[in-house]
Amino acid sequence: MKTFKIENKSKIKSGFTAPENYFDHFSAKILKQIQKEEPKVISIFARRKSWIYAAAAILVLTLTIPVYLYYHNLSTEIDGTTLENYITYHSTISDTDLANLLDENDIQKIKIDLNIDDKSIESELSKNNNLEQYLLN
Amino acid sequence: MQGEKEFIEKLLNPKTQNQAFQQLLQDYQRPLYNHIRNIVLNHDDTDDVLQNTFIKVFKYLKNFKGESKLFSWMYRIATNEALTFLNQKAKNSGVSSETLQNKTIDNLKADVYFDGDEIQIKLQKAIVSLPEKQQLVFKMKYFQELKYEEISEILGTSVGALKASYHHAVKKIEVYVKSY
Repeated sequence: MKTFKIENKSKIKSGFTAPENYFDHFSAKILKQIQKEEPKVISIFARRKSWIYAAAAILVLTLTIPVYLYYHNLSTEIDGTTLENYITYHSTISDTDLANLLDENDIQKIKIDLNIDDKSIESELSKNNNLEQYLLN
Repeated sequence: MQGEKEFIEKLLNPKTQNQAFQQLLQDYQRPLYNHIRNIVLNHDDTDDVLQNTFIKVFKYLKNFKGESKLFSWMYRIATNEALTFLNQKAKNSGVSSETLQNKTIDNLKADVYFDGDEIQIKLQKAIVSLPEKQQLVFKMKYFQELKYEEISEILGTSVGALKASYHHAVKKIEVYVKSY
């Protein structure tokens, strides 16, 4: 069998050829395609992109506002009447329990709220027949 | 290198872009045609791939960061385009890439844009029997006479690995040609 050494042989060409004047027309063809395609592609894409962003922003806002308002209205604070009723009807809480829960500041506040003057206290005490009993206890 | 940097600036400047791109076409259309033709084998497919390559080059030019040479960047685009085209064509025909290429080689005798005889056909058949990477290395080194350093930049493979690939390719081709 004959030895075949590719590097020893004279170069084998690929044998591929192109049509005559192919390269003369190729450049013109590409330049025409580029000029035709470029502005169309960029402008449509850019416009569509901004519309998509705008639509997404509106959608998010529309969905978020009712959710925010709903949670905002759900106040976690208990109003005074509810609290008073609870204390009144909750039989296991005694006056002593309440007194224990109040600190100095709370008592000061109550004093301000009540705003009872000395005269009223005196008249109230004079009317009360069981005063002695209270004092003794 | 300074020359290339200036040329890229011209390509990106809307005022000089057209003229610079025309220059780019003049410089690269023939080598890229040969490169693509060696991969896809027939003229019409080469024409399609070459057009896509230049359109992509133009489109992505603004993203070209100059990390590699313009030459190797364009060759890389052309290689990817050609291989994608070939795989897509094989997939559409429901055959393997090798079967498709063998069929194209069989048709070369009737191709008006093929000026070769039996030895060229035999060599092409031997090349198709190689793994894809070895095919590329052999075609770029043997037919296009690119330097290993240039092939290395295009394919992202070390020069050592390329030399080994080329050596294996040559050995396999010689065995193939002897036995057929």
